[in-house]
Amino acid sequence: MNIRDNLKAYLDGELSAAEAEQVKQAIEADPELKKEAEELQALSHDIRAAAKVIAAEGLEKAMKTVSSSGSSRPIFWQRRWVQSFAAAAAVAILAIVFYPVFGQAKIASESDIQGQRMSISRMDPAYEDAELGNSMSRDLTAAEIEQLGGGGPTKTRAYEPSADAGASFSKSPVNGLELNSEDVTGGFRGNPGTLSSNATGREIINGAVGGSGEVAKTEWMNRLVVRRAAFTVYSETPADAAASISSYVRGQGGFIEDSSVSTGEETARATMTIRIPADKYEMALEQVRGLGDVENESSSGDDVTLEVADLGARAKTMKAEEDQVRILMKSAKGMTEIIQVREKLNSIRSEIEALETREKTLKRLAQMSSIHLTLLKPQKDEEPPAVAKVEPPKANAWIDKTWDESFSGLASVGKYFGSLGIRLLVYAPIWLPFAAIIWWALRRFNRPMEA
Amino acid sequence: MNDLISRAQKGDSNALCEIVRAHYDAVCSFCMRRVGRDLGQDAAQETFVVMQKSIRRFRGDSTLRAWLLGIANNQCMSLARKNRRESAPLEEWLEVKGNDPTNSIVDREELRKALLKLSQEHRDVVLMHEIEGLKYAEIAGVLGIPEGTVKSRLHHAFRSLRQSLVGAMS
Repeated sequence: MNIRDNLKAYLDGELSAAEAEQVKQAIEADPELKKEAEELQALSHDIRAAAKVIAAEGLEKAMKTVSSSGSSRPIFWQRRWVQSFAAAAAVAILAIVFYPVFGQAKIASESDIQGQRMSISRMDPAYEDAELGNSMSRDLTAAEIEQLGGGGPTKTRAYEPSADAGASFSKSPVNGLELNSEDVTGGFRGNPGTLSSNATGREIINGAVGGSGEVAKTEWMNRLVVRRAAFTVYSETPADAAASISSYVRGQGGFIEDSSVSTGEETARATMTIRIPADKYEMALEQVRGLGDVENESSSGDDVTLEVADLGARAKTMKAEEDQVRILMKSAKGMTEIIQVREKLNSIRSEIEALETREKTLKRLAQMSSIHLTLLKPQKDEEPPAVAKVEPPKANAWIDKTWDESFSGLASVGKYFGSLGIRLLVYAPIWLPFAAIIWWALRRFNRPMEA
Repeated sequence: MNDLISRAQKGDSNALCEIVRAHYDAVCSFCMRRVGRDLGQDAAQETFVVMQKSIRRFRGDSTLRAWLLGIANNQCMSLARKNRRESAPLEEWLEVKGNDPTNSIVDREELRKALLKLSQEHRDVVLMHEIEGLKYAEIAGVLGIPEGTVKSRLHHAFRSLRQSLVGAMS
């Protein structure tokens, strides 16, 4: 920098010591510069000397204004409670606006995890048994039913297939128990269809209904479902197995509807249709499974509750009509009229009996479930059908699980911020003007009149 | 002084009055020089009202005087704008008459003319420094410009004055 540029600042004492020393030496060495410095000093002196002395007025008024205003109370928007309230309101608004985004991301995450589990379970039955709980493959205790029905959200979710998980898949030959859509009435969310589990309709319903488990259980008890199952079981002694299950069924109050036993060396087999009280149905299934290696297992059920109710209602109506016709009969005059009324009465009577018979039959069918059992002797030169090995969960399965969940969580966080960014962008025309006004106001009022 | 400011920041009206008493003359004369006698007093009053409201935000980055003059400067500009008034004539700053030839190297009328040739920005800096007695940092705070700009403006202003007054000075 030119020394002359610093000359005025030097004379005003506004330079650092080093700069001042530099200018001082330059002045001493240069008479022209010295003369210039003297002129600047004289000019400065002349301006100061010419300064008008102004008598300030209004001190008392200013003092009065300040003292009457009292303490320096902050203006409205600078008060702490106003700022706290504004901050809380802003957080609340953000939460209201963006909570659905977070909720969607969370649901998407859960759906992904569930979808992954269901996909894995299709490939590996053992995984499903381990993940969904082994209690699915046996009769649930009353306490478990209560717990499932009581609405534990984790359990409930475990029974719900995700939308993309697909609904119908069965496992044959071992664990697959097919349930028709009628089996899963009573609040099963998701596509009704066959499930890859030994879970019975009752277990699924009680598990699926979540928070209204007690109500659902009561409803289930009142429903009439005609349940059927079919088994193909390999046993070394089909005849003995048939005798064993027959004995068991009779002991439970059931009966053998039909049976045939063949005792040939190579062709030993037995077939039978078992009728068992509905409340013993699950235990009977377990008993059948214990007879040997299950090759095939299927189960179905028809909910006839509505049909029975409909039959009952129709029968009641017909009875009322019958009463009316009987009254008409008493007042009938002439043989022809009596014959016509009697024919009508007979028609109504036969219809009532048909309805009542069907109603009773359906009720009886619902009370007595049927199991069709085929017992086969395994061929010696053939290995019994391979039973899919249920591998126990790996010791380090938690690592895979944690990894999957973490990765999924990361993806959902990414989705969350992505959707947040999109929302901010889309809603910019709404919030941007407000933000600009607030920004301007803060700048304007934070330093109200300062330079 | 720091104690006085902290008491004022806590709402002590006595401390606020002391600040008013200590700085009123400087603020009032500053305002009068900029917008004239009539508006200057109002601007000074407004300055202390604003000071009272915003003293909590004074962080001590500059002197209290420079901070007050900054508020005063804004009040003056605001009042001048409202009243559609240009900045005060130079006569509000300088005594044109009563020249003292023994102590002065230039005639005051010549000086006045030379000052009038300066741009408003340069003249403001010269008057604030020479008449108000503000330091470079304080001027920078009042005008909201860097200190280097103040230094540069003063240098160029005085070079212009010298050039204008070269005949008179010789």
